[in-house]
This record gives sequence, structure tokens and C-alpha cells, in this order.
Amino acid sequence: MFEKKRLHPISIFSYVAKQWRDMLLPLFMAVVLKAREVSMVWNIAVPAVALFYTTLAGFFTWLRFTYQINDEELYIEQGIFIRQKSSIPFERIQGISLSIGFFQRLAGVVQVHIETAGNELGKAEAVLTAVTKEEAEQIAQQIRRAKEKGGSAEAISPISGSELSDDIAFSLRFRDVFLLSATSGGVFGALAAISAFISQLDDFISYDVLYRDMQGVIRNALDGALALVVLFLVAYALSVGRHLLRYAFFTVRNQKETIGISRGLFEKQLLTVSKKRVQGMIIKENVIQRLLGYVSVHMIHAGGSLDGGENGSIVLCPFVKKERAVSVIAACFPEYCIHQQFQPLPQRARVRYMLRPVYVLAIPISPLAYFFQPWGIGLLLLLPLASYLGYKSYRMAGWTISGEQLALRNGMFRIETMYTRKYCIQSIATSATWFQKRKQLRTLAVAVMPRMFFKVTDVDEKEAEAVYMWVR
Amino acid sequence: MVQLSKRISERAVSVWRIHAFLRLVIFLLGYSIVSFFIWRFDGPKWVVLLLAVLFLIHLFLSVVVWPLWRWQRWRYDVREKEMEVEYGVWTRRRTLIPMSRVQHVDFRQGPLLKKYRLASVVIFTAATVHEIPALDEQEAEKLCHVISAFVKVDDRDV
Repeated sequence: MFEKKRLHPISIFSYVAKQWRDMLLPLFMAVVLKAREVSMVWNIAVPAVALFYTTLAGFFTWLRFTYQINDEELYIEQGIFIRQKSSIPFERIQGISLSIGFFQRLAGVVQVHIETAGNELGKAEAVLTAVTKEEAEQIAQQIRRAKEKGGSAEAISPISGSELSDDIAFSLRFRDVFLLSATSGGVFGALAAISAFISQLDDFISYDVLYRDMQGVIRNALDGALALVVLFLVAYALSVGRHLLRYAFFTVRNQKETIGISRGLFEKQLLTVSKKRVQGMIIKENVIQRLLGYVSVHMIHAGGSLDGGENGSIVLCPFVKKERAVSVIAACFPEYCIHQQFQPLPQRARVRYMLRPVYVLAIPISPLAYFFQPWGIGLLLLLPLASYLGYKSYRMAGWTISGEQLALRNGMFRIETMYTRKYCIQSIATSATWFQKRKQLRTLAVAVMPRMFFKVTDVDEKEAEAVYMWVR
Repeated sequence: MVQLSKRISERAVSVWRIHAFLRLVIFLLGYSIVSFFIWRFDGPKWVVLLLAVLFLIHLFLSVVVWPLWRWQRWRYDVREKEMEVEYGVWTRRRTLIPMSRVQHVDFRQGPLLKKYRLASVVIFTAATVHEIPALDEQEAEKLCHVISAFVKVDDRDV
């Protein structure tokens, strides 16, 4: 009755394309850098063999991958040499996300990520690379049915729920996408990538010729500055483009038991997060965003990162005015109370905060200052600056308890505030080094998710104990 | 805060001393290689002497003193609603794990611990792993049962 089905053959292409993307750089190195002159073996045979091999592998991977949608479970068989059979009961599926990439769009199919409880972080339990929309809908329905039967009426359906328009909690405007990429530091990332690429090219662009040509081009400092500006503009355009692709049409839908997020320009992604699995909220703001009054909001999510971002967290609002963030969270997660009244750290912690970045910076700076005597001394000016940043960070750090909620805040360049509920806290620790003890200070650390610890350094001893006792 | 009541087994000190000693053998190799090269290439003799002194201090601290301090600082307590552990020589740390958050408990025993009739108890939550090292064998076993009896299913659990 239940037939074994194969994915849409377009998944062969998507597999091959992915393999090629991963192989491009090593292949490029092997082919271009190894042989200076064109040779049959390197320039034609190696890529041909690689192409042949991946196509073959793609074909057999597709051929040997079958799935079966039963009443109770999703049954998958895969593997070319080592057969892997997995059955995933619908009842245990915690989240499902759909995405439509380039190849999926060509064939009019979708990719389905399925995530279950109790598996490794950040790794979707099963991925169906290319199935029809009807089948994705069928899977979603089966999950819903299984959940209803099991007593928990958790609706997990990324498709049928998305037609409603009155439940939109947040959507990102195009203008904000530009602001986001301008302020997120992505520009610098792109700059770094470009310069890394250029330095990679060093090897096979003949230096001398280029140098002679460049001398013509960059005659004076003005041209040099122009070149820098152009480089920056290119980096900026790349960064905006990347953010645009990723965050265009970013829409958050607030449904009864779930949060639905859809986004993407070419590569559409739909994901559904069960509210029950959200363990807390993180609000992040970097220096520039802080000046403009913008923040980004992340949900701490038990289970994989469905959106392909950092482990254990899912972006709820990538870029939003602070006041708006508060109302979005209030609408989606009324149990969280976002506020600004934080219990500051005691005065005696201030000097420790101001000195800590100085120690860290002094280690690399002092030898530099010593060896490059006259001008190197100028580097020492960085130390008061670091100290000032430490002071700012002291002013920002704090904690607060309101009802069942604990909030911790810290950070220097990027301030992070974490809000969590008492029952989401897996463990709490207070610690003190000998120096801290002498000043009656403690470090407070809370674990909510694996590899997600939030801590505030130098909390007053009595206060830290109060928080510790509160968890009990 | 009041200090916790229960201590780990006194035999832990001996086990830790053996461990530290074994680790030191590897360090000794490193010390000797460096000294040999300094000797061979006519480096300053006082550096070799300094290394030897350093090694002796290292030996004294890590084998004689540190295990003892570590044992003195290790405390734990298991109650119906929560468990706590407290440890650390330089950084003193005290951790509270609500019982409802505990997912499972492990009983662990390596060859050295077995010889000394010791075992460790490892406690897992959804986010963290905590180990109570070197308990008396029987006590560790009892503790495992006590903890798993206290752990109740919480419907808000993830």
C-alpha cells in the first residue's frame, strides 16, 4: 500500500552542484597552480574525472535513496555501499522546514528538513532534497494527525498556515535590509574575503608585469584612495546582495502554537518553530546598531538550528527598532517581559572591568611598542581606549529577575541580553577566583542549551547567591 | 552560603596522585629534550638548572599538594528537588542542578578507579554534564539509584 518513492531527479543536479561548489577551490589549486603550462593531464583529465565521479556518485545516491510515507512514520533507505535505514515516527518530529533553492525552483519541487528531539544539535535528522509540494503537505498533515492522536495538538504545518495574512507579527522592510547590511559588520567580512582572494591570486598573476602596470595606475595617493573606495563599494554591494538574498521578504507569522518564518529572494525558506521548544530570547546589538536604536532578536531553540545559522538559535527579527522588538516579542511570546531595568554591578567591580581589557591588549602591544620604538609608543594610546571600553561594558552588564524570568546582560562590542524562564534553566553556577573572593564578587553562569552558557562576571556575592537560590 | 555536607572518598587523593605522576612522566620527557639540546649546543648551564628546579616544583605541587587541596574542596549534596556540587582550588565553583532537569545518570569506573574500589557518577542534563569523581564504589551505585528515583518526568521538559 505504501510505495517506496524516489526523490525528483533534479536532486542529482543539486547534489553534483553542491559537490562542485565544495571542490572548486581544491580543484582550482590543483589545476591552475600545479601546471603553469597547459597540459592534457592536469587541465583536462583531472576536472573530467572529478566531474564524472561526482555525476556518477550523484546518480547512485539518488538511485539508492528511497522514502516511504506510512501512517505512523517516515521510512528512509539510503547509502550506496553502506545501507542506512531510518524510520522517523511522525509523533516525534519536532520541526519541519521547507526551502526552495535554485534547482528546486527549476523543477517546481521543495526541500524538506525534518528535525526530531534528542538528536545532535544543528543536524537535521532527515533531508528530502526534492519532493513535490503535495507530498510535503502530506508529510505535514501526517505529523499533525500523529500529534493530535498523541494528545498534544501541536500544529506543525509550514504550508497550510501560511495563506493567512492577519497573523503577521513582523516583516522586514527593504530599507531595513540595507541598513542591516550596512551596520552588521558584514561589509568588513566581505572586505576580508576579497583581500584574501586577491592574496590567493598572487601566486599565478605575474608580479612584475602587474607591478609595472600598477605603477601607471596608482601614481599617487589619490588614486590609491580611489582604489580603496572602489574596493569598499564592491564589498558593500556584495554584503548588501548577500543580506538581500538571505533576508528579503523576511516575514514572521505568529500562530497559536508555532512561529512561522519565511524568507529569501531566490532561495525561499519556510520554517516552523514550535513555541514550546523556545527556551529563551537573546537580544543582540552591536555598537553602530546601538547608536541607531536597532537590535536583532534571536530565539533560543531546543534542537537544531533550522535556519542554518548559529547552533541553537533562530533569528526572529534580524533588524528591528528596539521598541518594535519589545512589541513583537510581547505578541509572539507573551510570557517574556522585555525591559531595561537591570541590577547593575557593584562599584568595586568597575576597576576589574577597566583593567581586564588592558591586560589582554598589553601582551601583544608591549613588545610591538618596544621594537618599533619611536612610533610604536603610539600603540600604547590604545590602552586607555580599551580601558574605556571596559568601563562601558561594566555599565552595560547586569542581571534581573522578574517573576519566573531571569535576564542576564553582558558584552563589549556587541551587547547580548538573554531572557529565559526558570524552568528552562538546566543548571546554574556561581564561581569565584581568589581575587574575586577578596572583593566579594562572583561570576554567575547559566546553562540553557548545550554550548550556550550565559554569564555575568563580578556580580555582588549576596546577589549572586540570591539568584542561585532562586533557581532552586 | 553554607558549605555542602558530603565529601568524596579520601582514596581519591591517591588516585589523583598516580594520575598526576603519570602525566609528569610525559612532562619529564619534554624537560629532558629541552635540557639535552641546551647541553648539546652549549647553551647557558643555568637554564638547565632552572629547568630542573622547575620540574621539582612542578612535581611537588601537582603530585603532593594539588590532589590534597582538590579533595578538600570537593563537596556535593543531593536532595529531593535539586543537587549541588562545589569544587575548585583557584576558582571555586558551585553548581546547582534542579532534579527535574536531570536526563540520565552514568556510573563510570576506569581500571585505576576500579583498583581503588572507586567510581564516578556523571549527571547529564539537556545542556550540561556534571561529574562527581572518585566516590566509594557502593556509594556511587547508591547515588545513581537515589538520583534516578528523584528524577520525575516534567511535562515542560524538552
